[in-house]
Order: sequence, then structure tokens, then C-alpha cells
Amino acid sequence: MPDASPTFPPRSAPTRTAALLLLADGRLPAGGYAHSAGLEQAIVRGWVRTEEDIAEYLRGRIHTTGLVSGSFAAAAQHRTAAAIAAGDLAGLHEELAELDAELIARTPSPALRKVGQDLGRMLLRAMSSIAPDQAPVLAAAGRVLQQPIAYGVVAAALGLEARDAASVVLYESAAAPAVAAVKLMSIDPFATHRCLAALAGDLDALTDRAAAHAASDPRDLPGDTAPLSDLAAEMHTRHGQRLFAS
Amino acid sequence: MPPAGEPAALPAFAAPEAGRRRTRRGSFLCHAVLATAQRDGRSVLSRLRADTPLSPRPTIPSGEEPYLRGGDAVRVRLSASAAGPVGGDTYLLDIHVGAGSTLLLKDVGATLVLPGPHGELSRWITRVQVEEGGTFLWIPEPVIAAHGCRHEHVIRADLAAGARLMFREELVLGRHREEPGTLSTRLDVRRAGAPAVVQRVALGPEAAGSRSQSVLGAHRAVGNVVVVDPDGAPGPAAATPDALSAVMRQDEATVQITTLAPDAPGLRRRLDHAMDLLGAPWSSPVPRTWSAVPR
Repeated sequence: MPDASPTFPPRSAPTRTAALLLLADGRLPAGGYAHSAGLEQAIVRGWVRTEEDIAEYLRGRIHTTGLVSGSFAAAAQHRTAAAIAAGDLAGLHEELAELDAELIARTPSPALRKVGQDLGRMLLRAMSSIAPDQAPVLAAAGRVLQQPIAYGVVAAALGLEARDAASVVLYESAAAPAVAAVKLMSIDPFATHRCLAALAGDLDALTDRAAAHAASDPRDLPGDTAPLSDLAAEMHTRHGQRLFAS
Repeated sequence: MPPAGEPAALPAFAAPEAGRRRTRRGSFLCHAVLATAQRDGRSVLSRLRADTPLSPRPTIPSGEEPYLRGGDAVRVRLSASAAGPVGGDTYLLDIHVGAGSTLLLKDVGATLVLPGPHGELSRWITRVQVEEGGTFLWIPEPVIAAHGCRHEHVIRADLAAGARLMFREELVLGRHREEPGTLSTRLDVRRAGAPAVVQRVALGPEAAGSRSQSVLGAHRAVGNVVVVDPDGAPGPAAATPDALSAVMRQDEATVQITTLAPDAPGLRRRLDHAMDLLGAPWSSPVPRTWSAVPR
């Protein structure tokens, strides 16, 4: 859409593909790079030693917390997009707060709840500066939300679908620890991306499952847990020497 | 008798069919009910419906019960009058703890989940409702996923704002030296309608990624303790008594312990040790006698 009153820098509504790339880009300054999703502690403890371990680690994550996060992102996108379409943002905060409470009940580790909240706040803050046009939607959503819900809100604000939101969050749940692995252990960066590429089919199937929950009752969203990840996160907060925040 | 204030509708498979105790293929459809109430200041059993194979039996006090404040409680042990759950079975257990009463529910033995003759799913749905001032203490024996089983365990607990809960869950991946079957357990605890603990643990060959070092690893036992106390969640905000146990406070009233271990006795020791961090009345100065069968 050409802008009636050109501003500087010239701006256009992001097309779907470009917006998706923007949101999925690991270089988006929203703090994700500082987290290994428990992998650092798992390596410190000797639980993860080899490329095979990494591949399984990522697989376990996407099928548990990845699916949960993706589902909540889809649900948040659905509610935000509906509020935008209806032109009524008044009830949005309450709906998202209900999702937030459900996700918090699915996150037993206090350390992971704090990480989720910090990353959610950073993403919302970053996006209100990156996409000022969408500031009213982001403001109506609220400033403090768990990260997957924040992703859903931002996806809706950028005109993306529920499936896009789920896809970004699921991919991120595997990519963050995969990239961190290169900094944490002696492993070929091609090997970590080989693990990621091998998960493409699983990620797409899980994205479909997560997206199917977009309009679900929040109580019915998945709640799959990853007990070792919770334990790793709790031990990591009390670990003296850390490279990654989680 | 469905409990007053019916929780969210059950999935279609769980709806008990009137007049049918067994399916065409011979599986069990059973519906047992346990209800307590307070009468003259004492907890009494107000309803007990056994339905083969779920056979709850009132019992006398046994073992150490520090968590029973004042000692007043209805004590019930759940026994099974047939093997199972076996693939194809659906068990439904309704538990209603009336205002001000206390129910202590234990098992007679471990639950061994077995495969059925047709490879079908087995299910056990427990619906719990605890009214204002009620206390539900549920200490089941381990649930063991035998090789080839396919089982869904669902527990929904709706608590009033002033209700108290202790639930202990021990899941074991197969009998000694046995590869486990597939088992999932979903726990959904709500307090005054708000979610407190919602989680699903899936294990076995059909649970993708469950043996990874982010989920269960090579551990053969995983367990949880959930305590909801309206007077305040007991214990520290967060603690890791050992590398495979964590005490994690969920909210101002709820605390959860998560533990993994190579086997069932190890799991029980770790859970006991972690529970000691919760302080009285949840801790114990002497070794606990949880089990019907002394270890």
C-alpha cells in the first residue's frame, strides 16, 4: 500500500513473507540470543556430550515445551487478530492475561517463568519501537506477557497468521539451543544445523498441531512438560559461572 | 452422582454408558465414586460406590500420618478386583471431598498398566472436587507402564479457594528390565477456577523425544508431589536438593516437587528427601511408611 503522506524512512505495511522473516530472524534484537534453553546446564552436568545427544535434546524440546509454546503463540495470535479485526482492543488484555495464567501453570520452574516473562517484555518493547504503527495493539496487549504469548501478539500486529506464530516459536525453541551449542561445546556448526534440518518434518507437523489450538478454550491447550529442562533451569540460576542466562 | 459444580465436560470416550459395565470386546467401563462430608465435627464417608475393578475400601489408620492435622480423616484404600487397566478399559473415578472434611486415599498395591488384546488405548480419568475447608491427601502407589501398554491417565482437581491438596505421583517405565509401554498422564489442578498446575508427562515408545536429555533421559522413574495449602505454599521458593530433584513454588498456595530416578525405590527416596524441605507437617523425622508393602 503506498502511503498517502510519506514519512522518513519510507514505510510500507510488511508483506507476509517479509514480516515472517523479520520475526523469525535470530538477529531481531529481542534478547533471545542470551539463552540456551537449558542446554548450558545439561552440558555442564554431562547429560549432553555428542551430536546425537544434541539432536535428541532438540527433538525432546520441540515435542514438549515447543508444542506448548507454539500453541499459546497461536492462541494469542488468534485473540489479537480478532480484536484488531473487530476494531475493539478493550477486552484484549483480559483475554491474554487468561492465556498467560494458563501458560504459567504449565511452567513449573520459577526460573523459566522469569525468563519467559523477561523475554516477552523485551519482545514487546522492541516491537513497539520497530513497528511504531502497531503501538496501539501492543499497548492494549499489556507490557508483561510470557514470551510465546508476546510472539502471538506481535505476529497478529504484523498481519501474520496463527500458524506463522506457532511456526516461529517452535522453530525458535529448537534453534536457540542449537546455536548456543556451538558456543558451549566443541561441535561443528554444520552439525548443529544438520540436527535442525533433520527436525523440519517434526517441526511442521507440530506447527499444525499447535495452530489447531488457536481458537481452543485456554484450559484445553497442551501442557507437555520436560522435567529435565525444568531441573536444568533451576540448577542454572544457582550456577556460579554462566555463559547464557538460561 | 456427579459432583456438584461439574468440571469441564469429559472427552467423549470417558462418558460412562448407562447400563453397560463392559464393552463388546470385554473391556471394563467402570465408574467408582467416593464422597466425604463433615458431620458433628468429624469426617465421614457419605458415599462409596465400587465398580469392578475399582474397589475402594474404608480402612483404619496405619503408618505415620503427620499431614493429618488433628488425625480426623476418612481413610480409604483403592484396591483393584481385576488386573488393569488393560488396553480398551475405561475407568472413571469421582472423588468429592465435602466442606471441612478430610479424605486420605491410598492404594493397596501399584497400578500395573497392561496392553489389551486389540492394541487399544486404556484410560483412567479421575475427577476430584474439594470444597471449602476440605482436605484431600492422595498418595497412590506407583503407576507402572508395562511393555506394550497404551494408556492415558487424566486427573482433574477442582479446589475451592480454601481447600487443601496433597498429591503424589510416581510413574515407572516398565517392570524390572522391561521396556516400557506408552503412557501419558495429565494433571490439571485448579483453585477457585484459576489454573495452579497443568502438566502432561508422556513416556514410552510413542512419546516422541521422551528419552532425550531435555525430557526424561534414560531415567526409568519420574515423580511429582503437588501441595496446595491456602495458608501459604510450604517450603522454599525454589530449591534443588540434588541434581535430579527440584522444589518449585508455583504460586502463593502451590508448590511442586519434580524428581527423576533410575528406578522406583530411588524415586521414592528422592521424593521423600525433597518433601522434607517443605517442613511440618509435610516433612518426616522418621522414614516414611507410604507403602502398603514395606520396602
